[in-house]
Amino acid sequence: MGILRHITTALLLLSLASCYSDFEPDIKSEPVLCLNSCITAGMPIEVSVTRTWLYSEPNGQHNNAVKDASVTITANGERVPADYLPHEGDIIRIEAESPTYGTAWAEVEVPRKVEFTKTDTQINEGNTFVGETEDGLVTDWLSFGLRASVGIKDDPTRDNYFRVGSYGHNPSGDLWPETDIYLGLGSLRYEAEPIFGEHIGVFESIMGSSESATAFFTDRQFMGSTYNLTLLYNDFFYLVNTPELDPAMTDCGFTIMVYNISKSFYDWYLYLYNQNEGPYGDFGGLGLGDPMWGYSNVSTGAGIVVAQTPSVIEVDFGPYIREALM
Amino acid sequence: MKKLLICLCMSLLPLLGLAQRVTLHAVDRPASDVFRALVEQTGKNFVYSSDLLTGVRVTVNADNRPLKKVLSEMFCDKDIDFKIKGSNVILTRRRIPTKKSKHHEVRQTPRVAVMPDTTLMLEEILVLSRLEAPEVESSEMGARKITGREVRDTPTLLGESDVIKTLQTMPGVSESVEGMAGMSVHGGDTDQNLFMLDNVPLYQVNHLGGLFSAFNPDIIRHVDFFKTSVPAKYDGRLSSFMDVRTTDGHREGHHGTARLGLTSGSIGISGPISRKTTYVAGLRRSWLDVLTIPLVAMINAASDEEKTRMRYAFTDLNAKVIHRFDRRFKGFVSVYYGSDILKTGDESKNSYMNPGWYYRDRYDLSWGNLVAQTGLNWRINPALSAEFTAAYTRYFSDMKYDDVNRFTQNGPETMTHVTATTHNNINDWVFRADFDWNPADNSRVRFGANYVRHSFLPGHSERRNTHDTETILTRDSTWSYRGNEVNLYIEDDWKITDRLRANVGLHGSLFHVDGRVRHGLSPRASINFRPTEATAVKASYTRTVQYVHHLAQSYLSLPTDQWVPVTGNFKPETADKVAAGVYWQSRDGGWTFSAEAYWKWMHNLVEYKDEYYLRPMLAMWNSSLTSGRGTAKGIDLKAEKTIGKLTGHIAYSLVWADRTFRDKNGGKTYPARFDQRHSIHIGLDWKVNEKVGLHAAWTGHSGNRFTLLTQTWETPVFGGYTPDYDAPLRAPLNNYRLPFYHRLDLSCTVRNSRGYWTFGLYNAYCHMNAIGIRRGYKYEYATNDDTRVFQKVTLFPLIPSISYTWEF
Repeated sequence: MGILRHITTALLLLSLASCYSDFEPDIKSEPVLCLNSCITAGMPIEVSVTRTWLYSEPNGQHNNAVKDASVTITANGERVPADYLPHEGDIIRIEAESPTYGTAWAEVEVPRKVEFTKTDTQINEGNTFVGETEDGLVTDWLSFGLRASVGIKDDPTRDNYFRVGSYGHNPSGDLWPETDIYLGLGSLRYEAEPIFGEHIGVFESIMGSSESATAFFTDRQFMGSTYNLTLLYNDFFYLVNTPELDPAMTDCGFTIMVYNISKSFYDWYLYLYNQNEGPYGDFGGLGLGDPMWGYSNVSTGAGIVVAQTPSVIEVDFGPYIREALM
Repeated sequence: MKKLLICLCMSLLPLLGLAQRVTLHAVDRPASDVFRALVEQTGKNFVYSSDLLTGVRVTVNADNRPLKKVLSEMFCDKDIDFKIKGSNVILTRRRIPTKKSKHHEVRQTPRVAVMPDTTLMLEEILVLSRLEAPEVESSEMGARKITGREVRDTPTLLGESDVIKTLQTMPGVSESVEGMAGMSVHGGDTDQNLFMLDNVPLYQVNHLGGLFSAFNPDIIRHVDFFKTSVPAKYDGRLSSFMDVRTTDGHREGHHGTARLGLTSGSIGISGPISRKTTYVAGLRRSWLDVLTIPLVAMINAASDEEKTRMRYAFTDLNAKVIHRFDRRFKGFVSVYYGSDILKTGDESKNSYMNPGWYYRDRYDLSWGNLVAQTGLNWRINPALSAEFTAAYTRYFSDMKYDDVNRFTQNGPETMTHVTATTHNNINDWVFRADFDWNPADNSRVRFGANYVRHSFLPGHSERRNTHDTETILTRDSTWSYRGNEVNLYIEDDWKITDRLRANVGLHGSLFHVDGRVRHGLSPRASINFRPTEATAVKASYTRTVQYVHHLAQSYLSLPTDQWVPVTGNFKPETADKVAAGVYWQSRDGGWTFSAEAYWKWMHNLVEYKDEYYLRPMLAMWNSSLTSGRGTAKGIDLKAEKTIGKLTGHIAYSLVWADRTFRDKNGGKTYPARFDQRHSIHIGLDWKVNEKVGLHAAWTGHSGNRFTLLTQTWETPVFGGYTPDYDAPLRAPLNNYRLPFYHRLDLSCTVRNSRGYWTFGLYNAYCHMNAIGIRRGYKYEYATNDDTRVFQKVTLFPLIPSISYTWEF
């Protein structure tokens, strides 16, 4: 925990009686086009085209749509249709043009898929609860954890950037309209995997926050070799209120995705970390350092175009839930 | 026609405050030279016509004698009278010598005798400021001698006297951030100023982020500061040079001071060890941790689950022993140690929010300077003296982070342990010899050489990640450099005619690091033409070379700051400055006016690239640097009154400064942060009586340049990471000038029989000055929503201070 962050605040804002006063600077600035897109291999490309606005413009954040823009997408130098599904290794270029705000473009390479050397998962047993509600329903509640050990083989020919994502599979509510079934997703304990904090230096730990690590990392510490990634998820829970538990109600699971991401994605994340959690965003905001602007790989400096390719690990919770509750 | 000379110097307040007693030994020396020594010891201003002392040589042999008696004895057989008026000693031609005069009375005193024949005994070695002569007389431009008393009398934030904040009252010198000790000289950067302690460079000169400088004002004898023309002796920085000289200690009895202020306390003591040996020791320490230790203990006692740890302190320790072997040799050994320490951390277990979870983190930071040196002052003959110095100077910054997490919820225990350390230090061995030679009455040659063995460790990072039984160790040990630096210099201060004086010098340097030798040749020239006795016209050219630079991500002074040598494809930073000025001084020396104009070109400057924060944590440090150039031009004006109960000065400076870097601002030229177009400083000192002194200082300047990011773009939610804010759109660097800055500082010194109280008011009329513009939010009650507004960030309101200094 970055206690110095609080000390800094105490020193600068309280002890030294720092304060803020509203102010409208007399400086001209013009809006430009903004492009945002996250390109995933095998998925259609979505592009958001907006405009920038003066920070103090009333409702600027809700009034930034650009209605006269046209968008062109090219893959490896050739124009592709809007429903094009990008492949690993594609170089995707997105261009937008607006008669009002000019043009903007960005280019990104779709990364190669991550190769796993192992994918071991282990469900950590938790607590169970069985009770009966006033209307006669039986409540089954089960908490548990998940530990995944994933071996990542690094491509030594290039710098690689990764992130970990996940989503859960609930039993379909449509099949059980009269029943409450819910899978509560566990939270990833970033502290359990040290590599998630590799971007946090000593000073950042103190002045910023080490708790705000997210699942972005690089191959800097295992370049060209294999790294065993440990993913620890706590506090999954399965809840069902039903007169009688049907085995089909326990068909649920969890998908872990390890993405190989573009450098622009990683840099975007680094910017967000520094701006929101690191010390330098605070320094800039207080006038004690240079202000940070948003990292962008778009020609206008507004927006971010990133790419990612997932590798997937599926975890089926059904057998465990059935064993625990039935 | 009489030529009026003024030797002006504010009183040096020795540690015990015995300003009226002197210890001086001189045999058949020019009277003007002896006065310089008296200025050093007494702080008196000596006012006299130059022809009064032409050819006058005196002999003095006084040990802790009252000044008045010493002067009486010195002039007992001379045609000279003197009057001591306040802080001035006015010398005049004696009109009617009478046997009843006190001079006659003391003539019989054996302590002072006029010895017509030169004996083998020479005067004691004294290390004097080279800036004793009046500004109209010298060839230096933009130079200033500051005494310890001036430092102590300057009103400052929290009442903490600070030599750097005293320098910030000079035209052409501006503070980096309000209240901070960093400074910019003539549009330069904060790392372009060389700070020396008794001839040895210091790298880290700040405490608490720059709120205080590392120089304990209680042990300062005087400070020589050069900002426009620079003597050939000095090189290694582009903008300014400050040499702090410490006191030598009292030879009669043990005396000292103890001071307690709002944030720190200090104690200083000096005295004789033997007849020939004296000592000086000073300790200054912040004492806020005295309060925080019990406070933290109370917080920890309130909870079994949560523990915290926090301690901050800074310390300055100076110790010096001086031994006078004989009247020709004086040697000293001294140590300076200044450091900041910060220890923080948290411990938590089984909290309600995190059952089954234990964590503990600890942060240990320490940073500072160590200087150990020995020196020898040797008067080889009446015309030649030498100063030899051997020193070890170390800058260090050590940071350690230790984090343990244990999870026992929902399964077997999982443990992670992360330790990260970063070390950053510089170790220099310095050997130097400086000579001062008077080959003729109109020539003074200074020459010397030094060798520095550098050892740089700009950043050594190690990260150890342990997960249960598996450990990953990442270590970067390639960041150390060893370097060798050799410097040679020679300069001649040549009085060509009564109206023309020139100082011509050359400084050559070699810097060997990273397998390459870089060199620099720094010619210096300044000339003083005096169309009238009271007026001087000066011009100068100065070239400076800098081989090390300072890398910092904020405007504060932090332990992450790095001093790094020029390596790789980077070239030494250089600056060429031309300057011209006009100076005037009234006949009684009470008023001086000066106007200087300068133009400076800086080359091979080093800065962080834009978006440096995207640099990988373990990447080579110079991968995020870029080189470029800068220019600065401006005018410095100053009017000063130095005699009388009411003294003061008005300083004005006008500056334009810009920078151009290949990888900053798209390669386009942009205004420098310290492009403060107009700066005004007014300082007044009123000595109400012997006990009470009032000081007032008003500062006003155009705001610093600031990169104001006005446009905003919508940040997407990619990868499950939701940004807190919309992203600012990049804008031209330093595109906005902050509002005009101004404040008034007041202080009052009240003496009593045991010491003195100092009362201060920083920012007396409480003008909240902006140090930056932030993108803030304002809650609107009407809409129950936040609206986005720009907000001025201000730091310091009116801040009173009080301290007491006990003299013993």
